[in-house]
Amino acid sequence: MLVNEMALICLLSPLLGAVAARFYCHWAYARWLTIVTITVSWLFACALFRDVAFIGKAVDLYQFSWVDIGRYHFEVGFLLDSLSLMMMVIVTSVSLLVHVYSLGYMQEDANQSTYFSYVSFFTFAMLILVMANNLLFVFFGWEGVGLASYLLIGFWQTKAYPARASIKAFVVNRVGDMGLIIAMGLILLQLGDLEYANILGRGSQLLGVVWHGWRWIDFICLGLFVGAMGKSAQMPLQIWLPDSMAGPTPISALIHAATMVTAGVYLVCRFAPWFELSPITLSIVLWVGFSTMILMGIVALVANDIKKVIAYSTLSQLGMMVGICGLSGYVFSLYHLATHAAFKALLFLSAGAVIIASNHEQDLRKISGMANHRTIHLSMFIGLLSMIAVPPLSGFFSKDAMLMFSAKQSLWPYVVMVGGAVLTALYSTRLYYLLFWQNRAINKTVPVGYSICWPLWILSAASIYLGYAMVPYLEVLLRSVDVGNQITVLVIKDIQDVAGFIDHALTSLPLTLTLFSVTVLTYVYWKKPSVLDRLIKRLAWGYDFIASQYGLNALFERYMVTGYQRLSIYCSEIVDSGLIDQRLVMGVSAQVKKASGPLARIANGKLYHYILVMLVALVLILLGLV
Amino acid sequence: MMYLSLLIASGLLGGLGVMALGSRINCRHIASGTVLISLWVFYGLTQQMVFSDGGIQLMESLPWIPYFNVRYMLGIDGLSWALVGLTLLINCIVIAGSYLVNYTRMRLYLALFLLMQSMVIGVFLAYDAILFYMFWEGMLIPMYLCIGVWGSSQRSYAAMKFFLYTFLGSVLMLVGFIYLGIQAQSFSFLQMASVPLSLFEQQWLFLALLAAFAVKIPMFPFHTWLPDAHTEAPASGSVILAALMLKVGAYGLIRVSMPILPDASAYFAPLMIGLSLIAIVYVGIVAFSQQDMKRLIAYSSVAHMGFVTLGLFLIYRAGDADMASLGMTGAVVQMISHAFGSGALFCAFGLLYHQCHERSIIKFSGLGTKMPWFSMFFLLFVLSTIGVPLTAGFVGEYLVIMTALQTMPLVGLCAAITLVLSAAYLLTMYKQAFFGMPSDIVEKVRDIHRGEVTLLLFISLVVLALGIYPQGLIQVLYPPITQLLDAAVSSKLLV
Repeated sequence: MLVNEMALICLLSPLLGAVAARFYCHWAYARWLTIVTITVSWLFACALFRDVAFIGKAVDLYQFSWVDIGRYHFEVGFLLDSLSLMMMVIVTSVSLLVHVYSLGYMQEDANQSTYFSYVSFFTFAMLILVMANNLLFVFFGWEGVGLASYLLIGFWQTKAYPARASIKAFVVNRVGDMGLIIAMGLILLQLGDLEYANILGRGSQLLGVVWHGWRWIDFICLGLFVGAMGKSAQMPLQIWLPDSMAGPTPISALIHAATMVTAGVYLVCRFAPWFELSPITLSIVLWVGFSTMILMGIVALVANDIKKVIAYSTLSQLGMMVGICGLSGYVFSLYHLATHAAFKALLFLSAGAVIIASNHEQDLRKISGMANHRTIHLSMFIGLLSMIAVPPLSGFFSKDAMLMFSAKQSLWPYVVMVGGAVLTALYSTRLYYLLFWQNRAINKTVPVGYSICWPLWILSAASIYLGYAMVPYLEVLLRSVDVGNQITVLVIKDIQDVAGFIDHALTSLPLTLTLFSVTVLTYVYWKKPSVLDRLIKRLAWGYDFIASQYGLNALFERYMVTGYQRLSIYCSEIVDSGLIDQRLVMGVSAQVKKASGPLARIANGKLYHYILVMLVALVLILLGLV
Repeated sequence: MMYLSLLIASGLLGGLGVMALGSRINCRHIASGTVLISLWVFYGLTQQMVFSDGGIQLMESLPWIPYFNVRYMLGIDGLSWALVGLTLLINCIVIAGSYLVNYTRMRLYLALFLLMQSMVIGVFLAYDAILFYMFWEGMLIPMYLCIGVWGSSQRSYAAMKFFLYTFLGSVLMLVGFIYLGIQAQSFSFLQMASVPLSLFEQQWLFLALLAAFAVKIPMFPFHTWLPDAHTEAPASGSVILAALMLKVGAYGLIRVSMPILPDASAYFAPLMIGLSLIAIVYVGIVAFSQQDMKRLIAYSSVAHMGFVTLGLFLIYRAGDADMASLGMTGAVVQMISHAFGSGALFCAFGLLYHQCHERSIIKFSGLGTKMPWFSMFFLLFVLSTIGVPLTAGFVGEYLVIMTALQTMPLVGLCAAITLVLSAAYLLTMYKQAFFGMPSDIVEKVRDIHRGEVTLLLFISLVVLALGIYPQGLIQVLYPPITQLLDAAVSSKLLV
């Protein structure tokens, strides 16, 4: 079987492109090279998907031993199953589209070879993350995507804001990585191994281990989830994601919407059997996910930057996926992950087209004339409808599956989920009206080229069709994340009867509420836009509070960063140079100098003094001996 | 063939050659010839070694001062081999770097570095305490001169501080060695390891030896000489200081303190672990507000050496032998990878400093646009120091944190904070210097030329190789480490 070679080509081809494009950055065709390599990677990912995903069991491919000490074996290897293969296809497809899109988007940039190199490197790291067969190798990809994100957010390095945003993203992500590292150490202590195949089935072995009344597995799952919170930008570690919009827009589509930010969801799903054993962590996952969904959805209602609105909506959707993981509906989280990758990438890439067409204007209140831009209008419209979950678009299938699942679990998660769905409808509608209705003055827009339009068309098709197309795949996917949840099986059965599923949804509460809120908001925007203005003025304080992410951003930037700077200056000046260096080290040396005064008088270089001392000493020694 | 003596002699003779013939032939050629010869000897030596055997090999032992039973005793094992290899590699970089810059008194400069190479290799090979001490002190003088002659404005203060501080420590070490020598009737480390000592004796001896080692590593709170020495030293001096000088301290702990004084090492392990943690966390915080580029790298050096001592002394808390060797291997790998983290940063910064003679971070801005190639390499070294996977810096840090989490979870928790701290201070520095619009100073610099690219590319390849396939190094280190570990944990009190 050639699976191993295929996996290697799929993984290493983007790396080759990245390295070549970086070193031959002055070569005019460097960017085309990265497109060739990413296409190769995509083809092999698809081929692997076709060959391996449906065989019903995971394929473990050992590559080499990274570190081998005694009983500790840290290895590098791949695990291909229906979960990782789905992720590989998503990653390479979106990456390919973003590469093509960037041809047009970045065409005037002087450093575009470097840009393409970074994007290819990101793809490589993300592939490691999803292909790895053990937690350490996952960590390689985990940090790698963080690095790529850092490089790309700060790509326009002469500007101040991207520089700040990039460092924020990296450092906040590292807080999450700390959780992952700690989880790894705890796993290693109990099980002595990090390979999925060897540890995932042994979760019950951890149940008996207790430390001061705390169960070991809770610590491990919590560590893993902190890692997931960093990457998937769950509250309160979400602060890096809105600022990451400082990077080029195609990057926001690839990294901060479709792939990297879903890594946390992927990790939680990978460790689903363990999370099942830790109810306390599961409820934390649920709470964190749902609060991110609701609170960030509300922020999306007040943001005015087109990219930020979509970023907050990403946060809200991610919160939804994470929250459903907390209810043990892993398959549906992954389902939504896939459809979300399509429609969110579409939204971001459309936003990028808007930005180009409106001459780099990102403020929704100032952009005008977009309604006449047919491709942009249509793609944005489809993306938003898919996100609102209008049947039978992609987003509908996944979101309604999640809704149905939560309804069957218990009442209050269902209520919160419906709230999330309504919020989605509200901010999507608002985005649409601000973008296409508010300023209908026909300004001169900049035309966008084919390399931008083609990815939009393809992603529009995916946003319409992917949800339906994936219905049969859910059963296959379930094999990778099966935790024996009966409700999951029931819901999948329901979805497979597609006509009945849509029929049921049309009469259900969430869709009714969603469409109702869309209608109300449409009416307000159409007939009485002044109502909203008055509302904003009346609630100005609350408006600002929400826009600042409930003060979390200020807390981080003003208090934590400044406080840390103060602490550092205190340690450096008072403790390190003041106390240790001046007081202790130089103080001792000053004392020695002082004490050496009398000694210097004795050691004055006069020979007869020395001889006298020697004689006295000799006499004393002799007396002592006697 | 007396490979080990040849290896030490080649540097010495090369140094003499540079001084004697340097006026007639280009002294750089003589120096690089010498390093090539040393490498060739090293190659021959490598052929002779059996890496699966963890014991001492190629032993050379001759009487030196028979009256005191002092011997000229050299030997090598996998650990020494790796460190000697590191020394030669770093010296290659420094000598190659000398082609790129011009210093006054070039002959003396090169001769001193060759002398230093001999002395450092001597420390790694010596098995006799007096010989060890001699090489140890011999290393000090060239470094002192290097800072004092080629340093920047505050050089005499820094050189004096460096010399006195380290000298004070090593004198105490000598006292300890003499006591041990009297007890063992021999100055051989092997004899010393088997002599029975009471806990009380061991404790005092441990502190005496620690005085020398802790200053060299440097451990908190003996670290304040290092930022001064680094800021004032020339780039090459900083590279040697960071990459080699700091390593001999840790090497001393592994080779001398732990096998000879196992019970005292176990007794003081909590203290050492505590000090290491302070180095990792507190010094990491201090580094954040440094305004001087070299000071910042120096502080990051101290923080990263904290992982070495942490890994070493965690073995006394480890549950079993494998866990202990995980920590010790991590510590040794960290020693080597740190040379390619901080050492590489100093080397790269040296190339920049050579152009603009400015160290203050705040004066730099926009290097990324003016020097794209340089900033690429510099970023790689920064990432290695931060400990991003697939670079050298990750391996040691990861192994030590894993050991810590398994032996003392709370210690591991604190050590893991370094992930955030190091990213914060190094990336803030990188942002200030490399992002933004070019500042006045930066406007005048040019990007690195082909020779400099080659030099940095070479270092980068080592950094990546160590990060991608550390097992290549670890399979050399593992056999001697298991042996040293045995000695380090077998108590002398029951004998």
